[in-house]
Amino acid sequence: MALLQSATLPPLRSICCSTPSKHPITYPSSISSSGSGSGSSSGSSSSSSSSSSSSLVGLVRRKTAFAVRSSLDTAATVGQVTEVDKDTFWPIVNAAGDKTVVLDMYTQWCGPCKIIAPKYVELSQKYDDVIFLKLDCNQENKPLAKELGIRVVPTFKILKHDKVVKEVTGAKFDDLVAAIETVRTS
Amino acid sequence: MTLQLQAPSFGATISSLPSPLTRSTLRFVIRAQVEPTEKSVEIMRKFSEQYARKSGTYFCVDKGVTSVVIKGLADHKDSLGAPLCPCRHYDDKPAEAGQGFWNCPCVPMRERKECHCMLFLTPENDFAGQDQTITLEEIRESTANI
Repeated sequence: MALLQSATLPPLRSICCSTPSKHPITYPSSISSSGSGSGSSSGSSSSSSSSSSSSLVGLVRRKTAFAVRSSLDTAATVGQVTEVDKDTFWPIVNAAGDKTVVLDMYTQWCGPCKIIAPKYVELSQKYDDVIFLKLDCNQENKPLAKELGIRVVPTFKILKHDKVVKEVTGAKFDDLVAAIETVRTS
Repeated sequence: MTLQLQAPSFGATISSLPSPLTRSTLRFVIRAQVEPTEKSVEIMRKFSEQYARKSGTYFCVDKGVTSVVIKGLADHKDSLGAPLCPCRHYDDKPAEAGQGFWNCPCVPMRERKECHCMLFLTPENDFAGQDQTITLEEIRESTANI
Protein backbone atom coordinates (compact mmCIF):
# COMPACT_ATOMS: atom_id res chain seq x y z
CA MET A 1 0.00 0.00 0.00
CA ALA A 2 1.43 3.34 -0.98
CA LEU A 3 1.02 5.73 1.89
CA LEU A 4 1.21 9.35 0.91
CA GLN A 5 4.77 10.39 1.62
CA SER A 6 4.78 14.10 1.36
CA ALA A 7 1.13 14.96 1.75
CA THR A 8 0.36 17.47 4.40
CA LEU A 9 -1.55 15.44 6.92
CA PRO A 10 -2.49 16.10 10.49
CA PRO A 11 -0.35 14.50 13.18
CA LEU A 12 -1.15 11.08 14.51
CA ARG A 13 -2.13 12.40 17.91
CA SER A 14 -5.33 10.53 18.08
CA ILE A 15 -7.01 8.81 15.21
CA CYS A 16 -10.57 9.22 16.27
CA CYS A 17 -13.24 10.96 14.30
CA SER A 18 -14.22 13.05 17.28
CA THR A 19 -10.74 14.35 18.08
CA PRO A 20 -9.25 16.62 15.42
CA SER A 21 -5.50 17.24 15.45
CA LYS A 22 -3.49 20.23 14.40
CA HIS A 23 -0.02 19.88 12.85
CA PRO A 24 1.10 18.40 9.54
CA ILE A 25 3.02 15.15 9.46
CA THR A 26 4.63 13.17 6.70
CA TYR A 27 4.53 9.44 6.37
CA PRO A 28 7.46 7.35 5.29
CA SER A 29 6.64 5.48 2.11
CA SER A 30 7.17 2.01 3.48
CA ILE A 31 5.13 0.12 5.96
CA SER A 32 7.07 -1.17 8.96
CA SER A 33 9.35 -4.03 8.21
CA SER A 34 8.98 -7.19 10.09
CA GLY A 35 11.76 -9.33 11.20
CA SER A 36 12.07 -12.13 13.60
CA GLY A 37 14.30 -11.73 16.52
CA SER A 38 17.95 -11.60 15.87
CA GLY A 39 20.82 -10.70 18.06
CA SER A 40 19.85 -9.72 21.53
CA SER A 41 18.88 -6.62 23.33
CA SER A 42 21.63 -6.78 25.86
CA GLY A 43 24.41 -7.64 23.46
CA SER A 44 25.00 -11.09 24.78
CA SER A 45 26.61 -13.67 22.61
CA SER A 46 24.64 -15.73 20.14
CA SER A 47 26.55 -18.81 21.07
CA SER A 48 24.38 -21.81 21.47
CA SER A 49 26.23 -23.26 24.40
CA SER A 50 27.13 -21.99 27.78
CA SER A 51 30.71 -21.65 28.74
CA SER A 52 32.25 -21.97 32.10
CA SER A 53 35.61 -21.26 33.57
CA SER A 54 37.02 -22.19 36.89
CA SER A 55 39.59 -20.31 38.89
CA LEU A 56 41.50 -21.30 41.95
CA VAL A 57 41.25 -18.60 44.60
CA GLY A 58 43.40 -19.47 47.54
CA LEU A 59 42.31 -22.89 48.62
CA VAL A 60 38.77 -22.40 47.27
CA ARG A 61 37.92 -23.46 43.76
CA ARG A 62 35.25 -21.19 42.39
CA LYS A 63 33.37 -22.11 39.32
CA THR A 64 32.14 -19.18 37.33
CA ALA A 65 29.30 -19.81 34.97
CA PHE A 66 28.17 -17.42 32.29
CA ALA A 67 24.56 -17.70 31.26
CA VAL A 68 24.42 -17.00 27.57
CA ARG A 69 21.21 -16.51 25.69
CA SER A 70 21.10 -19.74 23.77
CA SER A 71 18.29 -19.26 21.26
CA LEU A 72 17.55 -16.57 18.75
CA ASP A 73 13.88 -17.27 19.40
CA THR A 74 13.99 -15.62 22.80
CA ALA A 75 15.73 -12.41 21.80
CA ALA A 76 14.42 -9.37 20.04
CA THR A 77 16.56 -6.60 18.63
CA VAL A 78 16.06 -3.06 19.83
CA GLY A 79 15.89 -0.39 17.19
CA GLN A 80 13.37 -2.28 15.08
CA VAL A 81 9.94 -3.90 15.27
CA THR A 82 9.94 -7.68 15.68
CA GLU A 83 7.02 -9.80 14.49
CA VAL A 84 5.98 -12.35 17.11
CA ASP A 85 3.43 -15.14 17.31
CA LYS A 86 1.76 -17.11 20.06
CA ASP A 87 4.88 -19.25 20.53
CA THR A 88 7.59 -16.61 20.50
CA PHE A 89 5.92 -13.78 22.39
CA TRP A 90 6.30 -14.86 26.02
CA PRO A 91 9.87 -16.19 25.63
CA ILE A 92 10.88 -12.80 24.23
CA VAL A 93 9.09 -10.96 27.01
CA ASN A 94 10.69 -13.22 29.61
CA ALA A 95 14.11 -12.57 28.12
CA ALA A 96 13.60 -8.80 28.17
CA GLY A 97 14.61 -8.48 31.80
CA ASP A 98 14.08 -4.94 33.04
CA LYS A 99 13.38 -3.56 29.59
CA THR A 100 9.98 -2.19 28.67
CA VAL A 101 8.21 -4.21 25.97
CA VAL A 102 5.57 -2.73 23.67
CA LEU A 103 3.28 -4.94 21.61
CA ASP A 104 1.25 -3.75 18.62
CA MET A 105 -1.75 -6.04 18.22
CA TYR A 106 -3.04 -5.58 14.68
CA THR A 107 -5.08 -7.33 12.03
CA GLN A 108 -4.47 -7.75 8.33
CA TRP A 109 -7.30 -5.53 7.09
CA CYS A 110 -7.37 -2.79 9.70
CA GLY A 111 -6.88 0.64 8.13
CA PRO A 112 -5.69 2.60 11.19
CA CYS A 113 -3.14 -0.17 11.85
CA LYS A 114 -1.54 0.59 8.50
CA ILE A 115 -1.43 4.30 9.28
CA ILE A 116 0.30 3.94 12.62
CA ALA A 117 2.70 1.18 11.52
CA PRO A 118 5.42 3.50 10.12
CA LYS A 119 5.16 5.74 13.19
CA TYR A 120 5.59 2.64 15.35
CA VAL A 121 8.78 1.81 13.48
CA GLU A 122 10.05 5.34 14.11
CA LEU A 123 9.34 4.92 17.80
CA SER A 124 11.34 1.71 17.83
CA GLN A 125 14.28 3.58 16.34
CA LYS A 126 13.94 6.41 18.82
CA TYR A 127 13.59 4.37 22.01
CA ASP A 128 16.53 1.97 21.89
CA ASP A 129 15.95 0.87 25.47
CA VAL A 130 12.47 -0.43 24.67
CA ILE A 131 11.58 -3.62 22.80
CA PHE A 132 8.95 -3.17 20.10
CA LEU A 133 6.94 -6.17 18.98
CA LYS A 134 3.93 -6.73 16.75
CA LEU A 135 1.37 -9.51 16.66
CA ASP A 136 -1.01 -10.35 13.82
CA CYS A 137 -4.24 -11.20 15.65
CA ASN A 138 -5.29 -13.85 13.18
CA GLN A 139 -6.82 -17.28 13.80
CA GLU A 140 -3.42 -18.82 14.49
CA ASN A 141 -2.59 -16.36 17.27
CA LYS A 142 -6.09 -16.24 18.72
CA PRO A 143 -5.12 -17.96 21.98
CA LEU A 144 -2.51 -15.30 22.72
CA ALA A 145 -4.83 -12.47 21.66
CA LYS A 146 -7.47 -13.85 24.01
CA GLU A 147 -4.96 -14.23 26.84
CA LEU A 148 -3.78 -10.64 26.48
CA GLY A 149 -7.28 -9.28 25.85
CA ILE A 150 -8.22 -7.21 22.84
CA ARG A 151 -11.37 -5.71 21.42
CA VAL A 152 -10.36 -2.59 19.52
CA VAL A 153 -7.76 -2.99 16.79
CA PRO A 154 -5.05 -1.84 17.04
CA THR A 155 -4.38 -2.26 20.73
CA PHE A 156 -0.97 -1.62 22.23
CA LYS A 157 0.10 -3.51 25.32
CA ILE A 158 3.02 -2.29 27.38
CA LEU A 159 4.76 -4.86 29.53
CA LYS A 160 7.40 -4.72 32.18
CA HIS A 161 8.79 -7.60 34.21
CA ASP A 162 6.61 -10.07 32.32
CA LYS A 163 3.35 -8.27 33.11
CA VAL A 164 1.02 -6.02 31.14
CA VAL A 165 1.19 -2.68 32.93
CA LYS A 166 -0.49 -0.37 30.43
CA GLU A 167 -2.72 -0.53 27.41
CA VAL A 168 -3.60 1.90 24.63
CA THR A 169 -6.66 1.09 22.53
CA GLY A 170 -6.92 2.50 19.04
CA ALA A 171 -4.34 4.16 16.82
CA LYS A 172 -3.67 6.97 19.29
CA PHE A 173 -0.07 7.89 18.74
CA ASP A 174 0.24 10.57 21.42
CA ASP A 175 -1.34 8.29 24.01
CA LEU A 176 1.06 5.52 23.02
CA VAL A 177 4.10 7.77 23.39
CA ALA A 178 2.91 9.00 26.78
CA ALA A 179 2.30 5.46 27.98
CA ILE A 180 5.76 4.31 26.84
CA GLU A 181 7.41 7.27 28.56
CA THR A 182 5.54 6.57 31.79
CA VAL A 183 6.46 2.91 31.90
CA ARG A 184 10.08 3.19 30.80
CA THR A 185 10.84 5.85 33.41
CA SER A 186 9.07 3.99 36.21
CA MET B 1 -5.48 -17.44 -1.27
CA THR B 2 -1.75 -17.00 -1.66
CA LEU B 3 0.78 -18.67 0.53
CA GLN B 4 3.89 -16.88 1.56
CA LEU B 5 6.96 -18.69 2.74
CA GLN B 6 8.58 -16.47 5.26
CA ALA B 7 12.10 -17.15 6.38
CA PRO B 8 13.46 -15.44 9.44
CA SER B 9 15.53 -12.40 8.69
CA PHE B 10 18.60 -13.60 10.56
CA GLY B 11 21.16 -15.66 8.68
CA ALA B 12 21.05 -18.89 10.63
CA THR B 13 22.92 -21.98 9.57
CA ILE B 14 22.35 -25.60 10.34
CA SER B 15 25.28 -27.55 11.61
CA SER B 16 26.03 -30.64 9.54
CA LEU B 17 27.13 -32.51 12.64
CA PRO B 18 24.23 -32.38 15.02
CA SER B 19 25.21 -32.57 18.64
CA PRO B 20 23.26 -32.39 21.85
CA LEU B 21 24.53 -28.87 22.40
CA THR B 22 23.32 -27.45 19.11
CA ARG B 23 19.96 -27.32 17.48
CA SER B 24 18.57 -26.04 14.29
CA THR B 25 17.78 -22.38 14.54
CA LEU B 26 16.35 -22.07 11.07
CA ARG B 27 12.62 -21.88 11.15
CA PHE B 28 10.33 -21.31 8.21
CA VAL B 29 6.93 -19.87 8.81
CA ILE B 30 4.29 -20.37 6.19
CA ARG B 31 1.81 -17.58 6.52
CA ALA B 32 -1.39 -17.59 4.52
CA GLN B 33 -2.33 -14.14 3.22
CA VAL B 34 -6.06 -14.42 2.59
CA GLU B 35 -7.48 -12.24 -0.16
CA PRO B 36 -11.20 -11.55 -0.41
CA THR B 37 -13.01 -12.40 -3.64
CA GLU B 38 -13.28 -9.67 -6.24
CA LYS B 39 -17.06 -9.99 -6.17
CA SER B 40 -17.21 -9.16 -2.47
CA VAL B 41 -14.72 -6.32 -2.85
CA GLU B 42 -16.94 -4.83 -5.55
CA ILE B 43 -20.04 -5.24 -3.38
CA MET B 44 -18.36 -3.54 -0.41
CA ARG B 45 -16.89 -0.83 -2.65
CA LYS B 46 -20.35 0.07 -3.94
CA PHE B 47 -21.81 -0.12 -0.46
CA SER B 48 -19.10 2.21 0.89
CA GLU B 49 -19.70 4.80 -1.83
CA GLN B 50 -23.44 4.64 -1.31
CA TYR B 51 -23.25 4.88 2.46
CA ALA B 52 -20.75 7.73 2.39
CA ARG B 53 -23.17 9.72 0.24
CA LYS B 54 -26.14 8.81 2.39
CA SER B 55 -24.39 9.68 5.67
CA GLY B 56 -22.62 12.80 4.41
CA THR B 57 -19.21 11.35 5.24
CA TYR B 58 -16.03 11.18 3.21
CA PHE B 59 -13.24 8.75 2.59
CA CYS B 60 -9.84 9.20 4.16
CA VAL B 61 -7.41 11.49 2.39
CA ASP B 62 -5.21 8.39 2.14
CA LYS B 63 -7.26 6.05 -0.04
CA GLY B 64 -5.00 3.21 1.07
CA VAL B 65 -6.83 3.20 4.39
CA THR B 66 -10.20 3.10 2.65
CA SER B 67 -9.02 0.27 0.43
CA VAL B 68 -7.73 -1.84 3.28
CA VAL B 69 -10.95 -1.50 5.25
CA ILE B 70 -13.10 -2.29 2.19
CA LYS B 71 -11.06 -5.44 1.68
CA GLY B 72 -11.46 -6.30 5.33
CA LEU B 73 -15.21 -5.97 5.06
CA ALA B 74 -15.19 -8.07 1.89
CA ASP B 75 -13.08 -10.73 3.62
CA HIS B 76 -15.60 -11.04 6.43
CA LYS B 77 -18.46 -11.08 3.95
CA ASP B 78 -16.79 -14.04 2.25
CA SER B 79 -16.08 -15.96 5.43
CA LEU B 80 -19.06 -15.02 7.59
CA GLY B 81 -21.71 -13.85 5.16
CA ALA B 82 -21.73 -10.42 6.78
CA PRO B 83 -19.31 -7.44 6.66
CA LEU B 84 -18.11 -7.53 10.25
CA CYS B 85 -15.92 -4.58 11.24
CA PRO B 86 -12.28 -5.47 10.47
CA CYS B 87 -10.96 -3.13 13.17
CA ARG B 88 -12.14 -5.18 16.10
CA HIS B 89 -11.22 -8.52 17.58
CA TYR B 90 -13.89 -11.09 18.34
CA ASP B 91 -14.05 -14.25 20.45
CA ASP B 92 -16.77 -15.71 18.24
CA LYS B 93 -16.98 -14.15 14.81
CA PRO B 94 -20.01 -16.07 13.50
CA ALA B 95 -21.97 -15.16 16.63
CA GLU B 96 -21.01 -11.50 16.28
CA ALA B 97 -21.97 -11.50 12.61
CA GLY B 98 -25.30 -13.02 13.54
CA GLN B 99 -25.87 -10.54 16.31
CA GLY B 100 -25.22 -7.58 14.01
CA PHE B 101 -23.93 -4.82 16.26
CA TRP B 102 -20.56 -4.70 14.50
CA ASN B 103 -21.80 -5.40 10.99
CA CYS B 104 -20.93 -2.44 8.78
CA PRO B 105 -22.47 0.09 9.11
CA CYS B 106 -22.08 -0.64 12.80
CA VAL B 107 -24.28 0.80 15.50
CA PRO B 108 -21.77 3.52 16.57
CA MET B 109 -21.62 4.66 12.94
CA ARG B 110 -25.36 4.59 12.45
CA GLU B 111 -26.06 6.42 15.71
CA ARG B 112 -23.11 8.79 16.07
CA LYS B 113 -21.21 8.66 12.76
CA GLU B 114 -18.25 7.16 14.62
CA CYS B 115 -16.13 4.93 12.39
CA HIS B 116 -12.87 4.00 14.10
CA CYS B 117 -11.83 2.16 10.92
CA MET B 118 -11.56 5.56 9.31
CA LEU B 119 -13.72 4.37 6.43
CA PHE B 120 -16.44 7.00 6.86
CA LEU B 121 -15.16 10.35 8.14
CA THR B 122 -17.21 13.41 8.98
CA PRO B 123 -16.12 16.57 7.10
CA GLU B 124 -14.61 18.16 10.21
CA ASN B 125 -12.26 15.22 10.73
CA ASP B 126 -8.72 16.27 9.78
CA PHE B 127 -8.19 12.97 7.95
CA ALA B 128 -11.32 13.36 5.79
CA GLY B 129 -10.67 13.88 2.09
CA GLN B 130 -12.99 15.27 -0.55
CA ASP B 131 -14.07 11.99 -2.12
CA GLN B 132 -17.07 9.79 -1.65
CA THR B 133 -15.97 7.52 -4.45
CA ILE B 134 -13.25 4.96 -4.89
CA THR B 135 -12.55 2.77 -7.91
CA LEU B 136 -11.71 -0.90 -7.96
CA GLU B 137 -8.41 0.04 -9.55
CA GLU B 138 -7.55 2.34 -6.67
CA ILE B 139 -8.32 -0.49 -4.24
CA ARG B 140 -6.18 -2.94 -6.21
CA GLU B 141 -3.22 -0.59 -6.51
CA SER B 142 -3.13 0.56 -2.93
CA THR B 143 -3.38 -2.95 -1.51
CA ALA B 144 -1.03 -4.62 -3.97
CA ASN B 145 1.80 -4.99 -1.45
CA ILE B 146 -0.23 -6.31 1.45
